[in-house]
This record gives sequence, C-alpha cells and structure tokens, in this order.
Amino acid sequence: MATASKDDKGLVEMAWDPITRIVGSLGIYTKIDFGKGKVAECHSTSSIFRGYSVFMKGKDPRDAHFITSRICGICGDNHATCSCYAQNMAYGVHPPALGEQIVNLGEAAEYMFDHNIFQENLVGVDFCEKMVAETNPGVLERANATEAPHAEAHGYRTIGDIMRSLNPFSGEFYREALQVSRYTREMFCLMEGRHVHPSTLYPGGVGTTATIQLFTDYYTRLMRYVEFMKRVVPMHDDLFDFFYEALPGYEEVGRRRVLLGCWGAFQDPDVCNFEYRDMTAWGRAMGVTPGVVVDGKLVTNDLVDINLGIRILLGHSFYDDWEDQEMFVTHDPLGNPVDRRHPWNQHTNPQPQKRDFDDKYSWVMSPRWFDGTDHLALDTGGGPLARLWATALSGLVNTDHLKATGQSVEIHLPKTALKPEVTLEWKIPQWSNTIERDRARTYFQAYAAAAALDFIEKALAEVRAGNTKTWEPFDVPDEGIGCGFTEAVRGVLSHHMVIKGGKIANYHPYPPTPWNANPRDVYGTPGPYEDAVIDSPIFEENDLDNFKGIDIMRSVRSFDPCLPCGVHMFLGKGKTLKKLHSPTQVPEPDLAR
Amino acid sequence: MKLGCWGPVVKCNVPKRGWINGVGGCPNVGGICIGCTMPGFPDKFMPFMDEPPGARVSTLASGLYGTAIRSLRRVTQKTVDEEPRWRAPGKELLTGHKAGWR
Repeated sequence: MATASKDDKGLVEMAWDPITRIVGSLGIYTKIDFGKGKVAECHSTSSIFRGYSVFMKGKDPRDAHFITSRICGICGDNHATCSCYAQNMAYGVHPPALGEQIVNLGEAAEYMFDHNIFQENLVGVDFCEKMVAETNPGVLERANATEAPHAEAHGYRTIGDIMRSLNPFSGEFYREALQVSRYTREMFCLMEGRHVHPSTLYPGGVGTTATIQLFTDYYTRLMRYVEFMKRVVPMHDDLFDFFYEALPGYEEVGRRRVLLGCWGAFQDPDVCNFEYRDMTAWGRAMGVTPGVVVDGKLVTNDLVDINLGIRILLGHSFYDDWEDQEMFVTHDPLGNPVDRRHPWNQHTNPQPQKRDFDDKYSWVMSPRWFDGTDHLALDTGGGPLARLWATALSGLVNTDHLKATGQSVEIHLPKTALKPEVTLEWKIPQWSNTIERDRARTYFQAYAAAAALDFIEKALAEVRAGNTKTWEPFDVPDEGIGCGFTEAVRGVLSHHMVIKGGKIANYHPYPPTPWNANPRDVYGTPGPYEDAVIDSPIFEENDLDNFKGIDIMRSVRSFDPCLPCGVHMFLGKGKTLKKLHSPTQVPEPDLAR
Repeated sequence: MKLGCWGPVVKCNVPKRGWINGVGGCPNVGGICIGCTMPGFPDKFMPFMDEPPGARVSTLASGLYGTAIRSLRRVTQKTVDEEPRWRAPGKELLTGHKAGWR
C-alpha cells in the first residue's frame, strides 16, 4: 500500500505500508527528491510485537524447538534446527552422523524450496514484462531487442522473452517454478516430516526412519532440481546483467557498504560435537562457512568471536533498557567475558507507544556486531550474498561438488537426464547491492543442491554400513547455557538459551530480518534497509502521479524480508497510490485511508 | 523417546493424507505427535517430549497386548515364509499333478 505527499522543500514523502509479497507488517517510509531522482530519507518500521523471549521463560527446555519453530511460517524449520543446536550444546549431547546428515538434507531442501519460490514467484515479479512495461517502457523495448547471451542453456531467445516468462500466473517459467516448489517441499517432508514445523527434529538427533527408500525418494527429486538449476542460473545471469547494461548506474540501487554477516550452515558430523570450547573448529568445518565480511575483507570466521561480538542495541525501538537487570552469563565456557548487551543477558521489556520517527518507531531492536571499536550494522545480503561471500573468502569448503577458491565459489553439478555436467562459478561481486543480492540467491540454490548431493552420499554410506541409529539419549541439566548458529533462508540465525532449575531462564532467538530491518540504533546508525534505500537513485520513468517505487521495492525485496520476524511504503499524508503491487494483478480496493 | 504419544487420540488427518502430495506427515516419517490440531495447543500438550498423562497404563496394556499378538504373528509368519513342499528346484514335479497325455 503506497501513499504520497509533497513538503515545502520539494521532497515527496512516500510510504509503502505494508509492503506486499512478504508477510505484511513491514513498512518503509521514505522522502524522495524527484528533482535529483534520489531517495533522501528512509525509515523502516515493524508494527508487530512477538514476545517469544517473554513467554519462553519457565518452559521445559526440550520444548524450545517446537515452540520457536512457530516464530515463522516460512523458515520455522531453521528455527527448530537452530534451537536443537543450542539444546545439544546445553545438554552436551552429540547426535549420530546419520542424524546430522538428515538435518543437513532437510535444511538443504528448505534452501532449495524457499529461495526458489521467493526468487521466481515473488522477486521475479519485480523484473517481469508487465512490471517493467509499467515502470520502464524504454527498458522493455530494449529487452525485446537484446539477444540473451546464454539462450542455448535456458531456451529464451531475448531478455524480453525471459521477462515474459516471469509474468505472474501467465508466464511459463513462473508456473514451472511453482511446480518446483512442490517437489522441493516434498524433499523436505521426506526428511523432517512436515514443512515448516518439523516433527522429527529433536535435541540429540532425529526421529526419521532412515531407509534406502527414503534417500532414493529424495535423490530422484534432487536430480530434477539439479537439472532445473542448470537452466535457472544462466537465465538469471542474463537478466541481471541486462539491467546493468540497460540502466547505467543501476549498481547504485540498494547499494550499501559491504557489511555482511553469515553464521554458517550444515554441520559436519565428523568434526561437530556441539561443545562450546570446540566451536571454532566445528564452525570452520560447516558446509557454509560462517564469517563477518567488512569492505570485502574477512574479519573473522570464528564462531566464538561471532558469538561474543553480538550486541543488542535499543534507541528507536519500543522497549525499555535492561541496564540494571540480572546478568545471566558473565563468562562463556572458555572464560571470555560476555557483554550485558549480549543475547544471553538480554531482557525484553516492551513499552508500546505512538510511532514517532524522531523518537521510537519500531518493534524491531537493533542487533549489531561489535568488532572491538564499532557497532557494525551487519546485513545478511538476503542470506545468499553473505553466505557465498564468507565461504568464498574463507576458502575452507572443498567437497566433490563444491570448492571455495578464495575469490569465488565453484559449484560442480553432475550429469542429469537431459544435460551434461556443468560447473558454475559465483565470483565475489564489486558491490553489495540489489542486483547482486538477487544474483547470489540463484547461485546459492545451486550451492544447496550440490551440498545435498554430498550429504545424501554420506547418509547412504551410513545406512549401507548398518549405522541406522539416528538419535542419542540425553539428560537436561539443572543449570546450563547453549547457543546455536545457523542460517535461516534469508540470513543469520542464532538462538541463545540459559537453563536454570531445569527450566528456561532466558531464551533469545535472533533471526535475519531484525538484523536487516532494524531502526536507527542508540548511536544513530541506520539499519541496513534504511541505509540501502537512502541515497538510492530512482530509475523509474513514471512521474509522481504514477510512481510505483519499483527501485525501492526491488531493494527491500532483495533482502528477502519477512517480518513477523518486516518495511511499509507510504507516499505521505495526502495522496494514496491507487494500485497495489499485487502479484495477482487484480485491482484491489483503496485501503490506505 | 518413550512409547506413547498424543497420536492415537488426536483428531488429525495428516497421517492419512501426508503433508504434501501424500509425502511426509508426522508419524509417517517417524515424528512424534504434539497435538497441534487440537484445542489448547500448545500449552495443554507441553512438555511435548514426555508421555501424555495416563500413558503409563495404556503403554503397559498395549505392551502386553503387543507382546502376545507378536508371538502369535510369529507363528503365522514362520509358516508363510516357508517354501511349500511342492516348490523345490529340480525337474521332478511334486505337486501331485498327473498329466493325462504323458
């Protein structure tokens, strides 16, 4: 829902609230300078309070993954997985290798499913023929005349053909992607029972009945996906490269300083024992290497450093501070001091009030990563950008199908029914911007498929060797702490738990969207959405009366926003944009006033 | 995991229809039932990983019943697993059939 009004300085206020094609509680409020064709100001707000950290207190710790899974209807299994990781650490239990591989296979299926449906059925709409015809008719004309460089690989002769195939419901590729989301979801359900609230994930392992048949059912679907990726990656490369070419300067859209965080995904059961004191080693052995990347350089890939650097700041959020409240964890198991603003010591004191952009305006707190001098507003690059960047720079991943080279990630896809072997290479881009976030997503879909190929071979080897046990018994201690790190589909995810008297004393999940969508912190540092949208140039050809804000929407959506774990566009007080960016393209009633 | 979960008493069609296209569904893949389709979920069913109240009696009863039935099934299983006497390798026909033309 978009609204607009003009102030005396010639700035036009525009707001999109709620942002559509995501779960609707995110609002982006901007001031646009139509004279300069730039966004002058931006505020990202969330109008929803969740309270998980409040009602998790006093619950049985073994229930944590079942409850926190319900945080999200899109990536709930990432929460369940992360919570099990945190519980494994707190209980000191080490699941059997087969159990870990089943979790890895489930998570790989989740990345394949979610990135596919978001990229092709939601982000794709921003780049489809109908949308481009409405916002940049000149670009569409050029697209129709531009031959696609990889036409042989994906079957679309011109860029215009690619755009038409992305049209919602009528486009051929749009519909194919919907089918793909069905069978990738089946893959997930084979491993974890239900999508998105898994019923077979427990601390200590999984309940899944591991048979050859189970893995074969997964394998056949996986190979179809591998074949699909051989068409999708070149197709998106063509589309995104075209935007740089057709709109010179498009690299500035949604561009932000390279401040990326990735908490790593896919445990290696040979190394991972879920013990805090060995976390550096098993963190580095993960299938997606954790890391903090600042200005293109790797700051750390040590999970202990990452953990200790997390700070939760207030400033413009609807909460009271916890300066004088109890500290739960003063030192981590390695003896390092833990900050009062760390999630282990955080308290949640909600203080509802009227939204005021000069004071408090969001339910999202401001997570920052402290590098020793600065509180960095890391973003997740929508997930894939940070994952591939940290993995590429670390150069630690080296499997049959994946290789991190230091400057790039190579993805080897085997022969499939209709296509020969293909090697795809994701190279570290020059910018962290809208197009590169979207491009990385496509490559990461291939990465997840290639990773799953390794996991399934290893899982089958375990079953053939007779090691079919998938779980290990455990006892809940009276006192304990645990932390879990993984990647939700759209970026970093951490769960921090403190157990006292056998019950949860403190529990703080930090999913990716709070990292991306947060408001200005106490030091005035804007959150990543705000930062990316401020000063972003406007390439849309429409005038104020017909303005859709497509460049801003592309930027926000490139982060893969989801807020119940979200930003609103509103063109100011007076005018309301009549048309919604509705994927169904059915006119909807004007609801803004 | 202890035997006895909410599954037998909960009203839910997931075990029958699977989760998507007949694939998945909690008990079909080895998951426990936490009663998520029932009124009072989740609080009424927590802690999820303990036996439901009364499960000790029903688990003991179904354990006894199961042990008895299983031993009876073993008897039947043994007989159905055996090759019939007339089905053995070799040229000799053991079925007792007498071909009129030979």
